Amino acid sequence: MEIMGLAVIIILLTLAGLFVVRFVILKPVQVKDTYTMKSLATDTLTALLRTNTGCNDENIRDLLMDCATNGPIRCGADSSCDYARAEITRIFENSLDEWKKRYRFVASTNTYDGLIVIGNCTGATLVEPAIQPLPTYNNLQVRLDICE
Amino acid sequence: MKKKAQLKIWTTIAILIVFFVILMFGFIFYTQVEKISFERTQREAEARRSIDVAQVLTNLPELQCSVGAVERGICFDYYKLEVAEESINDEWLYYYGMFGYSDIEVKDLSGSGKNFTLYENQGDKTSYTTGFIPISIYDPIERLFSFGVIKVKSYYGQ
Repeated sequence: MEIMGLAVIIILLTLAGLFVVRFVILKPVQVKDTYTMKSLATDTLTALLRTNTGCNDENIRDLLMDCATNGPIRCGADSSCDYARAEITRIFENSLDEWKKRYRFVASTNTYDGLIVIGNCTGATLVEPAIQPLPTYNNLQVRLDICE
Repeated sequence: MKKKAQLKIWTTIAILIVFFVILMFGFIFYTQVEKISFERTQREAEARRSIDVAQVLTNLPELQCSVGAVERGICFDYYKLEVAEESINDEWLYYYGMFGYSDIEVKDLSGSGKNFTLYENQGDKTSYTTGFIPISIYDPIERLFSFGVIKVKSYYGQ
């Protein structure tokens, strides 16, 4: 009788052990997902900066550089900063928002941390950032974080 | 005495039944969990497959733009996309070897707003996963870049 009880306990412990080994110790590492997210951030940022806009056909890279250095570019009634922010927001609404990706885009200089900030990753885990420095005297840097 | 012995036998049988029932439930539960885990792994593999198909597409010389070859990032030529809409359909069997059961679309999100449907083949598959890759689309006549996206629907299952 007691042996039967012991056998039941051993079976239950073995099953519990199997679960622990299978789902905790042998948990697969998701390398490809991290690579895919980093690739998404890099590809998005590269394509974004190269995109020409309706503001004198300037690309977003040049608009951001003008914004960071208080340059002369005007886009109708808007400054280069406002126009770039609106264009980037529009592009992200049609891409990352549609794909239900959370993100945070930040353009910053060494004197101004939040020149342009779009999106937020509050409460989410940062997966991989894409960072692109641009050649201005105040070290303009654009960063796109994809988070989940 | 006899009754006591009989009672003992029935008790032992009952314990054995409980033992095997617990064992059976444990085994069924474990196999169900494994099945769900396998299905999720299969779905993740199919999702990655749609990205793999998109990456094959980005390396096709019949679509790549001819400017900025040393630049990073993926770039398609606008007019090559227009031609590819027809030419990929004309050589369907050749591209089937690359793309399999999938629908491939390139969308111009900031320029002309045009959608290019390059390949369609659902076959008899019922489920699908979707992958996206952001790209630049270059107009070599205007010399302007627009923001585009490759959308791949990869079909699987029956």
